[in-house]
Amino acid sequence: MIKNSFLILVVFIIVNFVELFAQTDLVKWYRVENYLLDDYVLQNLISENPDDLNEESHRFADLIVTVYKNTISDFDGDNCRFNPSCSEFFAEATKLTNPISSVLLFFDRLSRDTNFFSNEGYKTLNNRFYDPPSDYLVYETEPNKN
Amino acid sequence: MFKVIYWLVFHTVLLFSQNNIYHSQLNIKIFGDYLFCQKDYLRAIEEYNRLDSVLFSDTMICKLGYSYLQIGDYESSSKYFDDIESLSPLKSYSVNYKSLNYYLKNDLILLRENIELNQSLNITDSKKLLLVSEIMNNKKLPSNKELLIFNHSEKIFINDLIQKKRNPDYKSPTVAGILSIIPGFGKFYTKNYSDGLTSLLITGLFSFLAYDNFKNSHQFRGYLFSVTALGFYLGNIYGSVASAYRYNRNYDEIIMIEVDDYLTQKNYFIQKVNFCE
Amino acid sequence: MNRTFLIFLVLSFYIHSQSDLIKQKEYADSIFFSQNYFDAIKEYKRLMFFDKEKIFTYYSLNQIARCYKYGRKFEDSYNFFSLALSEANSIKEIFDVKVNICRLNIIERKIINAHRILDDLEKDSLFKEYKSEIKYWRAWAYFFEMEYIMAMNIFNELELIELSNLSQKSYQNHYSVSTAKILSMILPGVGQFYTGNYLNGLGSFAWNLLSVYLTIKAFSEERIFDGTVLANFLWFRFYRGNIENAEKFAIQKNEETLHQTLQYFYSKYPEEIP
Repeated sequence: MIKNSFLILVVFIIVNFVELFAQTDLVKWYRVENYLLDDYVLQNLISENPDDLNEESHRFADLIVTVYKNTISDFDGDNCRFNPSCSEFFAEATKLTNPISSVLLFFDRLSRDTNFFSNEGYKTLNNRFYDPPSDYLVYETEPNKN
Repeated sequence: MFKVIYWLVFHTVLLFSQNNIYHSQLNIKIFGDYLFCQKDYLRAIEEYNRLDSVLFSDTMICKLGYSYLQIGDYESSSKYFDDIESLSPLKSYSVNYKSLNYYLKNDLILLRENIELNQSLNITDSKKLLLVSEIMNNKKLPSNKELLIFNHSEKIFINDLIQKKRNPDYKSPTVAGILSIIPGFGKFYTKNYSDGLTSLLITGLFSFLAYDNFKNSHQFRGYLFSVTALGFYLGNIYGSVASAYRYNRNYDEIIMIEVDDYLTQKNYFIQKVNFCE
Repeated sequence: MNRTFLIFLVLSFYIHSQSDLIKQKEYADSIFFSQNYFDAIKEYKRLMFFDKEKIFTYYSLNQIARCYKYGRKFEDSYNFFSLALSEANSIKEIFDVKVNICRLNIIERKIINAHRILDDLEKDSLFKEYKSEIKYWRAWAYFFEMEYIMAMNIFNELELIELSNLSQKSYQNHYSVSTAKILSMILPGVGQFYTGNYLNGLGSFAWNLLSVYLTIKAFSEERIFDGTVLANFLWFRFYRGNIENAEKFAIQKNEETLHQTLQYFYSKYPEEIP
């Protein structure tokens, strides 16, 4: 038994030997400033302190979302199973559509968030269901190839 | 006299040895071929580009075009495939790969032009790609006569695809909107059963709360729950319409992924030329 | 005179043809040291390709793997280290590759794998003379695991004063995640105070106080329905959020400390770090 599995391993290594050489460098890459540092962790550290003073933040919807985030959302834990979260969904929807549709979309999202039966048909992103408002536009969009 | 010659020879040798012989033109070409066969396309391109254009053969131009295709630079790729002379045995290969470039860029006009320009050649592969591209872009469905270029197994797949395009399993947004007058039924129609049920329950709950509070003459709370219930109700209608659109988009996407899978598996109908033996 | 000159000429030809590979190796190395790793890989591959007698194969594979590592392309790096392992000829070479694979595991925080590799090396009698080096990397594995006391003990044993001081400093700046959580469970907001996020702690405390007050008020006025709703949707929500926040902040702070230490150490001794 052990001998067999060893044989299989050897065959596997030989078969894959060529594949190991075959490279996946299809884009030119450069040295990383400090290869020890985990980009993902760094990004998370940065995204915890987003700069709220970007161009769009004078918009009313963004103001509401910012106030909500700083007064309530920061204290009530992780409640949303979607990515973007409900408040971000609303802010993005206002950019894509008009205020009335975005409020309606927001209510629709809330009811989907309350759905405790099942959550199927979503892709996942960072361990959450990916559900952007761009999926819910009410007109035909050109399918983007590839 | 001899001394001068010796001196000259000695210094030529010295000079020559300063250069790294592995970076001579011939060795660059050999090494570039090796990298190409190792599928290290980006580095192979860099090597080939160091060569004098005098050394370029048709085979090498094809390899360059293929490498650019692999790294996703369709512009450069089709430029190289353009360079193949019309009498070269690799001409039809290059035309087919140029078509593939246009297909991947989803540029139907140039794809058709490319085929019309090279009618004299044997480019069935390109014609197959054009037909698939036309079906996918909803331009037109091919007639039975046009389908003759496909072989038997391909025809099964194409017929299936045509069937799906002719009678797509779409959900009508209007029907979804009308059905959702009863909360949640629009979502049942677009097969989001649990979302529909939640919609029904949540609208019902808030309506009941509003009714209950008005009955017990809690005016403020009554209005609050009414507004929320109304929000959920209208949101349900709007969301049902949106979910019909979403359903249709997903349907198209699934077909596209199927076709992409099939084509990659078939190497986009293009016959392979093995440059690496 | 002519004859000696001719002999000299022939000899120089001979030497040059042998030294071409060395020249290519030096060229590749120069690119490697200029940190242009993508091109360095190409040159090492060239060296490997023209080196028919496979003198430099192990060296090239090892260097390519290191190039990929510095570009944070660990998957490729693993592949090339394992190729280098199959080409390694001496005990030292085998040990080097295995340690390099272990270092990759440490960087990727696959600490269990790293420990397993180190265990195997330690058990193997072939690598007796490398005991201290194995210990050194084990200390780093503990360091990345944030087991600073363990790391400090080993560094002390190896008489690496600066590293052990660093571990001690990191230990002092380390927040215990479970302490933060338990503190927040006992009194909302205290866990956040412990990790230094005072504003968030105050906010959490205020929300919890308010929701508890509202809930108790509702129950005392015998509005059972309101009380249940408030307890569920307000108080419980903020109480849970408060514990989650304490945990999140503690992890975040620890991560930041580790990153800062690594950054400091990397700028000082880039070769002695995993």
